[in-house]
Amino acid sequence: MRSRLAIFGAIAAVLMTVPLCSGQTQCTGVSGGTDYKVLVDEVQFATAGGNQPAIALELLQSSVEGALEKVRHGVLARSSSPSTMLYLPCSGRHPQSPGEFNDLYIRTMASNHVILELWGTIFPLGDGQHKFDIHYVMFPVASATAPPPSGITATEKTMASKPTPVQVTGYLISARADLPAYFTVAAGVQAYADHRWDQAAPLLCEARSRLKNKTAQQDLMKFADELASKAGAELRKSSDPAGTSLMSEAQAKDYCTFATTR
Amino acid sequence: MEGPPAFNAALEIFSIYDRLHKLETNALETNANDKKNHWYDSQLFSSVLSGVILAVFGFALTGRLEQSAKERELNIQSAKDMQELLVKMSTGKGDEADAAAVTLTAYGRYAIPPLIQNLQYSPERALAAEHGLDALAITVPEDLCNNLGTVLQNRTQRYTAASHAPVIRIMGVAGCTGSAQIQILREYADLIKRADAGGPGLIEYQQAVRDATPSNVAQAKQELANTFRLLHVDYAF
Repeated sequence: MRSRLAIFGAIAAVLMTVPLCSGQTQCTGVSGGTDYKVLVDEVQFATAGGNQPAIALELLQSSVEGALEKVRHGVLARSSSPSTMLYLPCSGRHPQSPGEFNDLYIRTMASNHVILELWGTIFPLGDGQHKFDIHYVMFPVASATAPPPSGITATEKTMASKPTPVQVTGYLISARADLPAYFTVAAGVQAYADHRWDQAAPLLCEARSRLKNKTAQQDLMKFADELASKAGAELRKSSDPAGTSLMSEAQAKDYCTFATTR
Repeated sequence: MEGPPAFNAALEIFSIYDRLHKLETNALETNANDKKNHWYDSQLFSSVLSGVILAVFGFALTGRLEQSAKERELNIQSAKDMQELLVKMSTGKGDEADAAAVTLTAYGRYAIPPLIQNLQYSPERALAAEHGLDALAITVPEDLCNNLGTVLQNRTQRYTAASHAPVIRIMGVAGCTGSAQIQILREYADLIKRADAGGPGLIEYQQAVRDATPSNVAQAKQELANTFRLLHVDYAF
């Protein structure tokens, strides 16, 4: 008995000395809590001698946070239950490929309420040209039970010269960039899974609008649209069980059209 | 003046015969009493056998004490060795953390508590811990299932909802088919069923399990359904 206590005590002491979440490749604050989380990984230049950071992670994180919070507050201006979103900088983290995100990893991230992770790589193409690849993983989309579109996607841009940090952030967060669209899908799907209908419906409608003209993302747009209508129906049910809502059943079924035309 | 009594041969013979008779009677009684005595009252035991038994007992006791002392020494040494692996798990990349977790399984049942604890940390550590616990299903299945059952049985927010999901998965993969574990899984499934209905059921779940939201309920439901399928348990949500 004493020997058991001795080993458990020793192990407990070991665990207490190990930082909860540290290291060069892991993000602090991913586990625990019910806040939604966006993981901001490194954007790096690919060089023969190994990758180099293209922009300070703190700058990247604050730029992403500023841009996405602006979108979120705009969309959820009328939401009665505003929630907190955490933007976690993942120092040193730069996944080699989307193949690292297997099903179990995606489910683990989703269970910790991580909604989105992004990282980028800038490759020299010769003649001063560079290719900027940005990868996004929308965990709630990838882990949805219904046959969902892939929650893992990427955008690519060819640049005439080596981009400066300002150009890097500009390309990531500009109004017409892909990031806000994927962010609203991910946040909307997670809000739907958490039965936050008043947030899910407007976020998914916003995603639908932003994805409308992206030909490669029509599956994702359709998925967001269908889920928005389901959220609209739930919203109608929960806000007005008697069925005397201003929104008819037909309107709820096509919630985004109703929301944008009223 | 009176002289010594005269020698009476008949009286003397009688007296000698009487004393002989008494001696014989006493000797017979003594023999009868000796037969009733225990074996350990014998002369042989007190002189030889008791010494042998004492020696054997002392040898056994010394052996046990030595074994206990060595075990404790080994445990403390193991804990020190485990420390390095736990640090690797917490700081390493996916593959390194995985390797450290699987190496930890060499410590058998002693690896179970730290691996379970790691299920609550960052996804990389949690996944590595899950792989380690999966591996322990081969070597110490009974201890593993008992420990996982205890985690799932907890209702004091000791564990996060995110850590309950892998526990349910491992119980399925490890084949935790003991009646106690099946009962625990069923009780947890009942809790999830009530939470899935929303309202007070969801509040009950959130009061029992830390950081739980409806999306965790949906995930737990999915994991439980899969585990029940693996364990051939009938349960309808």
